[in-house]
Amino acid sequence: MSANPQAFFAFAARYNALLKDVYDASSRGGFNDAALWQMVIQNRSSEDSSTEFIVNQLRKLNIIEECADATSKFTMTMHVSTFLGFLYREHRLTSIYVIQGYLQNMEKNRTELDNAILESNDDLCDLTLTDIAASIEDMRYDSRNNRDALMHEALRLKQNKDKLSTEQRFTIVNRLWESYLNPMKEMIDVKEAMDAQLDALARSLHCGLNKREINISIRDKIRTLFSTLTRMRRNVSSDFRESLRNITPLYESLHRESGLARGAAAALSIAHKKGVEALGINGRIRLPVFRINNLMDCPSLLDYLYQLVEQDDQGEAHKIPLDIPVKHPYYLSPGAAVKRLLSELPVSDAFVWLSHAYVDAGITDILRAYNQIIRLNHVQHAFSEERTRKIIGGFEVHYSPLHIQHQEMQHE
Amino acid sequence: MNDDASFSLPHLKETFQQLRTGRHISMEDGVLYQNIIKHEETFTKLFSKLGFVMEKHAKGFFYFRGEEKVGDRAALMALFMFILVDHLAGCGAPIEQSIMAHEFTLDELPHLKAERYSMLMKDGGIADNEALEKLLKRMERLGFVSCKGTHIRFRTPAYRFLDLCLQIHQETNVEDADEAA
Repeated sequence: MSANPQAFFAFAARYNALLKDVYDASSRGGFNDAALWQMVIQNRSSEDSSTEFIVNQLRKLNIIEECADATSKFTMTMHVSTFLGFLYREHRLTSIYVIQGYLQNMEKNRTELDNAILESNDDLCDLTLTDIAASIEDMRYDSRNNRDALMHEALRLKQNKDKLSTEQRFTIVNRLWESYLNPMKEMIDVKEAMDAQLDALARSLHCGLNKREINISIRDKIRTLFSTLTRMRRNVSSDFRESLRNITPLYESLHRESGLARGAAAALSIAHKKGVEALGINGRIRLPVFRINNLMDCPSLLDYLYQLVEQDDQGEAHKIPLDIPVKHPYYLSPGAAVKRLLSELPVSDAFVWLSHAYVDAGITDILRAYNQIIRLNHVQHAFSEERTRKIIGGFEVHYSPLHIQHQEMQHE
Repeated sequence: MNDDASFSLPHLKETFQQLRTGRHISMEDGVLYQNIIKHEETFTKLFSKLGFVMEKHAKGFFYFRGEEKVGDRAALMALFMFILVDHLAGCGAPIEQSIMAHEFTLDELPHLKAERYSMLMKDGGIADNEALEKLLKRMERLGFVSCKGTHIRFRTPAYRFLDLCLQIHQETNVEDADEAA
């Protein structure tokens, strides 16, 4: 049963807020009888008709219908929903297959138009031109709608007000990419199928324009369609490029972010199951490990090594210049210092003991060994309350002397 | 390039000392970094002749490539970064941007808060804030982070760990594909 447009628009004007609620509830998957009545009651003023009348009008005007999958559950009819979606600027993406369908329709109608022009059949020309015009406008509308929907989605993903995880956001952008942009790109850029078909249509229209046997009003219609076609081609192309410009950086960034997230999650999972060693991190990061200081402090030795690398079989071998005093690298092993200290316990000041036991050692070596000593177990440590100072290798060290002795045996 | 030129490179000793202890030299290291940039080829050649490989990362920082499977320092740092990336991904924050532009405080780090993370950290010997701070200090010495009190900021060389995430992702992807085949 068709709805009276005048009644529909009068109802829509009076119950605009109700329609928005019904639209939103439908977008969430539909609503039951009780929810419908509740929405009507909430949006009805005392001067309005009864709740029951308004509910009946919603059905009568084809604004709502029962869901296919459940009784007593309703949803907004598709056409009203699409129309309101357009008014509310809520964009839904149109599948590429729908757009391909328009092209196929146009191709079929073009063949018909070619025959009609050939036969100078004005009536058939008129009918096919109307169908082609509808397909062109559908295509233009869906293209603009897709562009707006993609831009809206890109903005939503960038803002991420819903706090979606990286993976969730990548799944969404990947779907936009794979289902809409990539096939569209294929159609426009790679195969140029669309261009070829639209070129053929333009040629047919051109042919119609030049056919004098065709009625002048039909030729005017062809002229208008020619402009419509040109506008649609321009719009579709610019919509696509704009969508691509919006989505590509987001896709690339979320693709990388998703890789980071998945990599980290995989690494944690491996570490959890097999231990962090299983990841072989050290072999991948390869941090250098050089513990012996002063190895390369002697420039002449460095020079010699460098020239040695350059050395070939020809000529004389380089010699270490013996006239330059060479300072031998000194290394104090903390382990050896600890061992020696344990054999000489008790000591009243571990720092003084170290500096006397290793007179050639620098401050760094002394401190490294001292660090090991204060961590010793199985000995008794006692720090003196009075602080003292000592000068080692040009450094003035302030400290509390550390007394160390063997641990006293525990007696019961 | 002659030998004299290479050994009279400015800040040679300091640069060499830093690099060989695993330090990653990035733009924030000021004069040392500018100096390597200015004499990059000479430095690379000199270090190479002495048996060291100076790498330049795509993000512009420098480091020495050590021997394979030597030392155990990197594993805990990597674990620290994996946890941070996983946490940021889970709460919907932009991972790379957050790591490189955000200043974290010790309190907001998830490592010892969520049980699934703290278990892994404990396995690596990081059971409390004190140990976590020590790990961060170690990372600071290597040029991965800057610490000021309880505030932590990641430096460009932290990209090495992000690279690692992507590398592991690719490997596991390939493994999954192989299994599916």
